[in-house]
Amino acid sequence: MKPSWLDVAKNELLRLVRDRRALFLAVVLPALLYPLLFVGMEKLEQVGEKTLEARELTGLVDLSGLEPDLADELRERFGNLEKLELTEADLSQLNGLPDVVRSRRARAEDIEVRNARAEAFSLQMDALAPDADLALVARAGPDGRPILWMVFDGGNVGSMEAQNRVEDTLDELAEEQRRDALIAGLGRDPAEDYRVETIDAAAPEDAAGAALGRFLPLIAVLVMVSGGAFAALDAFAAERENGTLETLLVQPVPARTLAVGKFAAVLLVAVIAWAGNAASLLGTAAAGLLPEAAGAAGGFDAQLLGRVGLGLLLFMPSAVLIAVALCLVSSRARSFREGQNYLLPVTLAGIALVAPAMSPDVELDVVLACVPLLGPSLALRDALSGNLSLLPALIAVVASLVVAALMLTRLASTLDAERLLAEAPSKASTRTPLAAVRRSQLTGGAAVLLVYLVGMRLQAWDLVPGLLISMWGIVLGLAVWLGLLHAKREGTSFVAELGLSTVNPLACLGALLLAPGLVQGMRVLLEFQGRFIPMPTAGMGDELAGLMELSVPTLLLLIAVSPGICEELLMRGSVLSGLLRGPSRVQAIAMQAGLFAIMHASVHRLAITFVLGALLGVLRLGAGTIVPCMLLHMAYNGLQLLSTTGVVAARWGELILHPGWWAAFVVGLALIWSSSVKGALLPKKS
Amino acid sequence: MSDQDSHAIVTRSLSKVYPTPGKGEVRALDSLDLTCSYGEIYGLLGPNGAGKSTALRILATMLEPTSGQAWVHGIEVGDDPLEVRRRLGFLSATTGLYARLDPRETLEYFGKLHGIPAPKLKDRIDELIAAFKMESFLDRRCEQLSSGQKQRVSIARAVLHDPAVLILDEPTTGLDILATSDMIEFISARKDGRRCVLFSTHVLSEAERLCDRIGVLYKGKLLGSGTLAELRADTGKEWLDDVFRELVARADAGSAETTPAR
Repeated sequence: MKPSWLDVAKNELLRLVRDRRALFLAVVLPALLYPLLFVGMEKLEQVGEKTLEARELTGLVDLSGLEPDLADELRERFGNLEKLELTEADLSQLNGLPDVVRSRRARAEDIEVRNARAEAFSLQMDALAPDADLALVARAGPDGRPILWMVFDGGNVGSMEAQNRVEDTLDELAEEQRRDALIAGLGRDPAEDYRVETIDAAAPEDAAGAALGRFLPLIAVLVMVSGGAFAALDAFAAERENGTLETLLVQPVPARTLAVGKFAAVLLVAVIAWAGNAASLLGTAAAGLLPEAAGAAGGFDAQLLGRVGLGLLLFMPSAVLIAVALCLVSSRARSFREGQNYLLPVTLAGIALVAPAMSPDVELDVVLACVPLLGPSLALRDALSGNLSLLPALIAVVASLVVAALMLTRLASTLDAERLLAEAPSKASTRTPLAAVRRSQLTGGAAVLLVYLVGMRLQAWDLVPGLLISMWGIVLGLAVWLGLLHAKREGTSFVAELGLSTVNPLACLGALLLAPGLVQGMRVLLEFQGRFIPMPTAGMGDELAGLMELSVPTLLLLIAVSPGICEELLMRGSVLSGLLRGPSRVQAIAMQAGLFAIMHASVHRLAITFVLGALLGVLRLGAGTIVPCMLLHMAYNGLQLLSTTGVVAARWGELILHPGWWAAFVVGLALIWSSSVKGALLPKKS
Repeated sequence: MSDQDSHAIVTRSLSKVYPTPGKGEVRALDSLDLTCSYGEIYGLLGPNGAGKSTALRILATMLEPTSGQAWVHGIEVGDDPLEVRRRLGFLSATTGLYARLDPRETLEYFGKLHGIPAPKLKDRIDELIAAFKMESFLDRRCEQLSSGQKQRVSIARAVLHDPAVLILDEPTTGLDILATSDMIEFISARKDGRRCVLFSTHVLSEAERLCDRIGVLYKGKLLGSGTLAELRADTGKEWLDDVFRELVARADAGSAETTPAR
């Protein structure tokens, strides 16, 4: 009798069923999500509204600045307000009203002065009416017309409610006055000549489906990740930590059978979590508990149920993909806890891939269908709204399944006893972050904050000195400080911590050859990204508007040379040296690339700076030095500049964007590959 | 009949080199020639880092040798690892049990992985439950068992398919006195004409008490192998710890002579 993957899967499931945490995450939480989310939120909202409606509110009014008739009219209306008692008072001594308002509008005004004025005003209000929720003061405006100043506390719910009630009363009065004036002038209300009726032509199930489709893929991914994560961690990371994987690997069962069995269990758990979640959604909707915005109540019928079924079927490849990704990530972890650390990036990657499906502007076409997770998400969305195109949907299913199958074949190779034994768990590396890693994380974070808070202010004050101080002061200063600290604490050389112990000329040449191809590649990435996040203008040109008057050499110094030296010394130098002492190289590369991307403070360039940071990080590992990274960074920024900047672009743009550079790119990669350094990645103890 | 066919375990010039970042290469096992017969308990003795676990893990098909060959029950480990695993039982101090399974479920699972048909598996499990006195804790999950009870389940798991060759890697590490005593009793009881036990230890008294033959492993090399009497005669020492020290001293002196002066 041959052992089967089913035996492995059954064992995994039996153990999971006996774990309360797994049951909670895979069954209870997904099933309760919608009732808790919608019913709970609705109830909370209702309770909040009722509490506010029932609340007795008070305020002070000083209408002495108004015409007597208008003041009387308002007094009468305010008197009819329920649960809001407005008392007439003399608020003429209240000073600083126009100052406060002006200072809130004027951005450039010094924050301290603004805060001081607001505080002084607040103190006056407290002294005049300590218990009042609102104050209404009529004063003559600059053009002689009176202004009604309504003073309320935006941090107080009661005060905001009082402001709403008074504002409604004022709006009603204004509307009535406008209508009376129209009738008096024209003899009739022109709005009575016609009326507007709106008809939603969408069938109820289309409306409900479209509403559901916008958020269902994202929730499905989150539910499957949270449901399947425990199963995956238990099947791989925990088995490795507890020593049962070692026992399993000396049984007469091929690693492929073990991998498939474990994957099947994780997939089943993820699908159960998802099915429970979908059933909960349908149940919540059938009970009429979904708010209109989330699911067009009343649109649920057999046809929509059919669409939900089809959509879920089309989304199944995503379940397979998520399950295999969770297995792969868990199989890399040496302990359950280490595996948990890897889940956040997986979740974020899942969200990033699915999020575009929430936008109605992103359409399922052949290209997007090939993107794993996104293709099936768009197919699910379109199936729910009744607009499914068959061919892209089929491509989406096949493409995601192909990627999942490729990942599954990789999973079997992770169950290699040789690798598992070579990477024995280390308590020091899995339970507490190493000091050098923490130092690098903190310094990277400090660099981001300092660039945001100091560097950008300096650049706003004067662009050129601001940029120079940001780079050669803040960024380089932190790189040197961190390098010195690493060298002192770890007993290594400062130069090695900065990644400058060697030069590797072959890798330098290779890096330079990569640059034009990289510029072109990033443009493709930006164009793709532009489908979801429209760019103001392509490339770097728009952000360099203030620099256009400078000469090209000065521009190159500011945009290419300075970042190429300073940012590399910090990110690929001392920060990466510290991060590499952590448990995972991939984590180290991703972390510094993330910091590098955030430091550039641009949503539009977040993806490309992350990719660039990751590539430069890999280049440092391969070349064993940051010199090629510096050259690539300088060349990349310089070519971006030359290909997008005014007159220069006309001369250089065509050459830089010539497709022939891809051949140079391949040669560059080959040069870097052939010169890659094997062995030690970390600076040696001196 | 060749050596490898007539012996339970044979290794020829078996070496294992680990690439170590920053340190070049570490030679964990250096041309090991080992022969263990059926009906024999063979003890591999050596300090930590001597290469014992590496040798046993190669035999258990978990690691691939860098060079050399190894046979278990006449099968070359690199040629057909699954067949080798069907013929051997393996247990080490680091192997664990599934916390949320009870002993019977544990044995059933591993029995299925060995492809034992259901009726035969049930009889075999009943037999082992009686042999290892597991009746009293059969319904409890492994996470609730004492270390001695866990050890009994682990041993039963390792011999479930009645392997011809049993490999135990430091099986008494981390056990209390009673559990250690149970383990020693179990190893003694495995001795019969058709089976072989190969176990590693750094506890000299265990080796002295249990083994028909002892091999002394140090820095990846087999310094000596034979019965206790043969090792005594070779070294001129009475006690096993003196025998061990003598062999290690000879090896260190030998390597000092061959190392050029700096």
